[in-house]
Amino acid sequence: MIECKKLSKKYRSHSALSNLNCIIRENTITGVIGRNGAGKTTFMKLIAGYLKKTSGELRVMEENPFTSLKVSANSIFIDDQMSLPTSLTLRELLNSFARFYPNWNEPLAKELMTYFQLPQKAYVQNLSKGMRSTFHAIIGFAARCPLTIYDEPTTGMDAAVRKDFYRALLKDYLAYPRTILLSSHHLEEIENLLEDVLIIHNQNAFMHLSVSELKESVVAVKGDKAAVSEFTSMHNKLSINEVVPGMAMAIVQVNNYIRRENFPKLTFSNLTANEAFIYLTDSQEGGIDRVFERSELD
Amino acid sequence: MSLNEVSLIDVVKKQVQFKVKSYTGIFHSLIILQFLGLFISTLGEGSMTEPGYGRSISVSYFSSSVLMGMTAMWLFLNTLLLTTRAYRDDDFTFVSTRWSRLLANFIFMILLALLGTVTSFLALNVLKVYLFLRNDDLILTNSLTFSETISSTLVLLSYLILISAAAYSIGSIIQRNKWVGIGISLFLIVLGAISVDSVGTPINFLIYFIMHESSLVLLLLKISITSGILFFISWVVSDSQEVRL
Repeated sequence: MIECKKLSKKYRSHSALSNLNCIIRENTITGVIGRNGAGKTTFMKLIAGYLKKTSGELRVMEENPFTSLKVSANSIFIDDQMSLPTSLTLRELLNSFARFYPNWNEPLAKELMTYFQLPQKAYVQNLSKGMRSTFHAIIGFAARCPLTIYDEPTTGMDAAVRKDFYRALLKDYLAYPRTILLSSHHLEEIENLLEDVLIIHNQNAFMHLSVSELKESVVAVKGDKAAVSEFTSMHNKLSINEVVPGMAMAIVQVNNYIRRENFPKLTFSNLTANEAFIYLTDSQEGGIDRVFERSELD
Repeated sequence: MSLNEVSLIDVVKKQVQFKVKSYTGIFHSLIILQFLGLFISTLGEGSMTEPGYGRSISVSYFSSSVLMGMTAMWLFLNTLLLTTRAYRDDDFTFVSTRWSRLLANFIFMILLALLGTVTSFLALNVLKVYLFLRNDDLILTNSLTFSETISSTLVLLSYLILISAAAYSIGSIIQRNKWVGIGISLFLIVLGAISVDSVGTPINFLIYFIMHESSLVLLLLKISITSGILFFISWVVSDSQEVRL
């Protein structure tokens, strides 16, 4: 569905993506995950054909999305800043979408509007932040585009609506399988939903793997300090700290299966996908604590 | 899910429909401006009074040029606005490419010009009726025959199309680079102010080329070609315009 080779995007003064490679298969839900400013939104806007790539190759549905009518007709980009005309009511906006998108699911749109108590005659500019995001999400469901891109779709939604949204997304996906890109800051909320995760870090496709692989790729080890440091020296250490004197806990990235019984002194525990992601993309060893320690020294 | 094949013509048609439906502000502003234009027109453009023994003759002139001017200004400003970010981002929320958007905008502009022409002529008749009711001794000069009405409508329409094509090109250039756009506009205004009356300068030539043409067919041809060139400029300039930055 989507193929990127050495994809780069520069804005006037700074670069937002550089040499990103990835292939996203058809009919998968992929989470696009990254820290703030990593380039997630830029990546997705390139796919939607909103932005023009600076260099590299980008094919969506075997076409260049920037000039392709086919990509535009078969994809939809949902975020909290969707630009909608302020002269039309919600009902009229839905009718406009229905005219443009051939797969439009009108009964679903109607039901969702009622369920989320969105008044048909309201205007988007009068909706609250959360209601507006909900309205955008409804458009995303009802449009049934073969490629649906959600960029931070739950911004402003309350916990209950967020939960409903994710459930609706999954149900809708199962009913009409399609390619979905979903970015969120809250990996813990969506990890049960996702099949694959594309981690964008430092303007690059840092990792592209399934959620279970992501979980397995990072483990926490706890035990005697000497034993832990011996273990970490063999693997990629992401973090280590002394819990109590003599006892240490480390987070390590592992590339292959570890026979845990070979390390009787250590206790292993698995991390959630979200924890794994945070440790993998932590740029500063020691995290925020280190900053305060340093500033106190000065 | 299988991909849908869409045709360009179909998408352009839908975009035009969407614009007609959602750009209500443009239509409202036309109504307001034409009422204003009508009001100003009823004041008359000029009058002369000739005193004599016991009686005097007073003549007032009325014309629809204010009305036409208002319509032209309305079209110019709104076409300029069509190129701005808010309208552009709206289009890309729905199905659109840069090319289909340009085509849809041009068709929409022609519709606006058509609307402007028709309403101007209707308003002109409102003005006539008003003057007729108010004065017993109305002399209507310029009462046009049917074919003259048709040809003057055509001329007004084509001038309006030309104006909006120019506005769209200028707007597109401004959207790509504010300073280049403003620079070009200032250059044209200054150059125009200086050289409009001096023979041999490009602006003078342009005005002569477009305005001083007595053959209707040639005039329409010239305006179509000029609009076509402006359309091409708009396309070149907006072809790589990014949206939702």
